[in-house]
Amino acid sequence: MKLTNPILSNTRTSGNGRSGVKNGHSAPQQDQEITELRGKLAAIDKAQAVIEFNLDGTIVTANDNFLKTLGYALDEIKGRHHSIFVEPAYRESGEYRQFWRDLNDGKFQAAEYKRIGKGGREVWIQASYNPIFDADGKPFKVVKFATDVTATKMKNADYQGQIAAVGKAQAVIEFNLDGTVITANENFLKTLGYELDEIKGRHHSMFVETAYRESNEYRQFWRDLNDGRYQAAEYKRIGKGGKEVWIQGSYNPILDLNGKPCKVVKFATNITGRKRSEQAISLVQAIIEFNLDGTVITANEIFLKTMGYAFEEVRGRHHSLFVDAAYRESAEYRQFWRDLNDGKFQAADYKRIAKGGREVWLQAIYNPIFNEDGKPYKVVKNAIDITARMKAEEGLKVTIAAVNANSQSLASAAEELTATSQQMSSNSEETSTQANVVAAASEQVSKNVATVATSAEEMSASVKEIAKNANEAAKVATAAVRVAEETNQTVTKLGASSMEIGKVIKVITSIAQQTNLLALNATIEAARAGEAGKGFAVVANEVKELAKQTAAATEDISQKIEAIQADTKGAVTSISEIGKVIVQINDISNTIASAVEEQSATTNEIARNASEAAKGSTEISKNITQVSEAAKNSSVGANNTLTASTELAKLAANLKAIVAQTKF
Amino acid sequence: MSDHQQFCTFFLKDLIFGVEVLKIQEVIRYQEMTPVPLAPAMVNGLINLRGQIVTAIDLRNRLAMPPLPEGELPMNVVIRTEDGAVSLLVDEIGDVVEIDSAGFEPPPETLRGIARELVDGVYKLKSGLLLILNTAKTVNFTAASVADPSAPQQAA
Repeated sequence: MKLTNPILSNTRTSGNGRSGVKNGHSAPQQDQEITELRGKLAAIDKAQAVIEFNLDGTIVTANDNFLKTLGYALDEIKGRHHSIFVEPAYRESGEYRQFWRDLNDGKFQAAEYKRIGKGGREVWIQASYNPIFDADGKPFKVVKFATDVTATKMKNADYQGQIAAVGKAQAVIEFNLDGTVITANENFLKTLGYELDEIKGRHHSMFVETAYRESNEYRQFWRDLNDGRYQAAEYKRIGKGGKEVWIQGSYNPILDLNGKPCKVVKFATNITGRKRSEQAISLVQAIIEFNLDGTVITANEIFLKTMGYAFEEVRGRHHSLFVDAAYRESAEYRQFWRDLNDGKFQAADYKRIAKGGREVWLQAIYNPIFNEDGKPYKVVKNAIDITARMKAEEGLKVTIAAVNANSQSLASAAEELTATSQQMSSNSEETSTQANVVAAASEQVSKNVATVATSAEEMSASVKEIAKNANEAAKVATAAVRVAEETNQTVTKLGASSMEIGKVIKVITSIAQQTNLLALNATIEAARAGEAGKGFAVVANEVKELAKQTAAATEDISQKIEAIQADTKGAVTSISEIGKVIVQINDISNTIASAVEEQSATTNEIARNASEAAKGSTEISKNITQVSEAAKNSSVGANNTLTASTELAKLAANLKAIVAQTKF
Repeated sequence: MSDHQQFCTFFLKDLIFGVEVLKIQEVIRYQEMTPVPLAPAMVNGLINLRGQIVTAIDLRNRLAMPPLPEGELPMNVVIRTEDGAVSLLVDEIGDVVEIDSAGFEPPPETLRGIARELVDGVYKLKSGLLLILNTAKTVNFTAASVADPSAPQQAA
C-alpha cells in the first residue's frame, strides 16, 4: 500500500491542480456567488499559502501562511521578484523565463516546486500559479496557491528511494488495465530474459502458459484486477524461449482518485530457485495447510501417505482428526491453536494418529501465514515423518541403558583384562625363561640321546659279537658233547677191556694157585722122598716161589685193574656229568644266542628309538625356540593388550560418563 | 736134622693149622662132591679123586666152628690114614714150612673140648700160633664129641 502512495499523491496533486483551476475559473461568477467565494477564499487563505505577483514577477502581496512557509516578513519580499525564491541556477535558466512567459500568456502552471526560503532553506511546495484575467480576458496578475509539501516531498523522496530500492531488488512491470505492458524494470527484463522493446505494448499473456492463457481462470484474474482487486501469489511464468520462471508476485491495481483502477503494477521476486527447493521439499516433506479454525485446506501426497488418508477424507476436517482423543480435549491443544491464531509459529516433534489409529511421529513446523495486514489467515505445516527415528530413539534408550550397563561391565572387564594381561605378560616372560631352560635341557637331551644312539650302535655291534661267540660256543659245546660221548664210549670199552683183563687175571690167579698147589704137592712129595727128594724140593720150592710171585703180581694187576675199573666208572660218570654240563652249556649258549638275538633286536630298537628321540628332541628344541619366540610375542602382545585395556578402561569410563549425560 | 719137622699149613677162619707133611697125600683145589645120605654133618660128601673115592670132612664142622660164608669154596687137604685117604675141607691152603721141634709146646691147659682133643701142640710162628692137628683123632668119629650118626661110619 505504501508503495502505491507516490502514485496516489501524484494523483492527488493533479487533483489539487484541477481544484486550483476550478478556483481560477470560479472568480468571474455572479455577484451572488462572490460573497460565497470570498468566504471560500478566506478559508483557502487560512489553509494555504497565497501570494500574488505582477506579471513581471514582482510580489504584490503574500498571506501569513506563505510568509511562515518561507520564513519572510511581508516587508522583506513585497516588490521583490519571484526569483528570490528559486535557486540561482534555475533563476538564470531558459526554463524559468519560459515559466514566466507562459504565465504572461495566461497559461496556468501547477506543479511541485522547489523553492528557497529565508536563509537558503529548501522548501517544497505544491503550488498553482494562476494568471488572473481582466475583463478583456487579459492576464494582469498571477495568484499562487501553495501548500508546503516539504515533508511530503521528503517522504516522497524517501518513497522513491525505496521504490528504486525495490526496483533494484524486485522485478517491476506496469500494465494497462487491458493487460498490455507499459514498462518494466531491468530486474523484470532480466528475470524473463526480454528486452523492454520486445514486450512494451504486448499483452501480459505472453508470460503465461498457453493452457492458462485460454482459461477462465486467467480471464477472471484480469477481471479481478480491473475490479481493483489486489492479487498476490506465487506464479508460474514463461520467460523468453519458454524458460519456466517462478515468481512471488503482487499485482497491484492502481486506483485513480475516484477509486477506479487505472493501471496495474506488478512487483515480483524471482523464486524459481526457492520454488524448485520447495518442490523438492514437497517431494520429501509432508505439507498440509489449515485454515485458522484448524480445518484442512490442502495436503500433499507425502502427508496423505504418511497419515494413510486420501485427500477427500481429510479435506475440510479438523486438525484434531490427527491427534489422540486425550490431547484433543486438552487445554494444551486449545492453546496450540490459539497460539497459531496469534501468529506464533510452532515447531516440535509431534505425536500424531494416522488412519486406523497408527501412531506417527512428525517433526513439524506450523507456520501461520500472514496477509498483507500482518494478520494470519492460514497455517502451513511442514513435517517429516520421524516415526522410525523415534522408534529408533526408543530402541536407542534401551540400547543406551544397555550400553550403560555394558560400559560398567566393560570397565570391570577392562580392569580384569588389565590384570590378566599383566599376569599374561609375566607368565609369558616366565614361559620364555622356562622355554629357554627347556631349550637348553632339550639340547642336552639331544646330545645325550645322540650318545645313547652311538652307545646303542656300539652295543649292537657288541651284541652281534656276543651272538657270534655264543653260536661258536654252542657249536663247540655240541662238539664237546660229541667228544664226551666218544670218550664215554672209549672209557666204557676200556672198562669192558679191563673186565676182560680181570677175567684173564683170574685165570692167571687160578693158574698161579694151581701152580702153588702143584709146588706144595711137589714139596710134599719131595718131603716124602726124604734125601732123594731134596733137589726136587728145591725146584718145587722155586716153582712155589714163582707161583707166589705170580699170585702176588696178578693180585697186583688185579688191584690195578680194579682201580682202573673204578677209575673208568668214575670217568664214565664224570664224562656223563661233563656231557650233562656241556648240554647245559649248550642250552645256556643257545639261550644266550637267542637272548642275544633278542638283545640285538632290542638294541636296534633302542638305537632306532634313540635316533627317533634325537629327532624328537631336536624337534622339541626347535619347537621350544618357537615357543620362546611365541612367548616373547605374547609378552609383547600382552603389553599391547595392557595398553589397549588401559585405553579400554578409559574409554569405558568415558562411555559411562557420556551415557550418564545422555538423557532421553 | 731131627731137630726140624716139615708141616703143611692151612687156614680155618683166622686160625693156622698144621699137619705133618708125611701124613699128607696131596693138596688140591675144590672138587665136586657127591653128598652121602645119612652121613654125619661133618662129612660133606665123597670126592672122586682120579678114581680113588675120598671122604671129605668139613673141618670147620669137626672143630665146631661156623661154616664158610656162602659162596666160598673150601680147599682139599688129602691125608693118608690107616683107612685110606681122607680129605679135610679147609678155608685156604697155606705152605709147607720147616719148623724147629724145640719150639713145640703142648696145648695150654685152658684149651678145652674138641680142640684140646684134636690139637697135639702149638708152634709159635712169627705170623701167629701154628696149631698141630692130630689127624688120627680128627678122622676118628668115635669120640664122644661125634654125633650119633657117625657111629656106624666108625663101626665100618
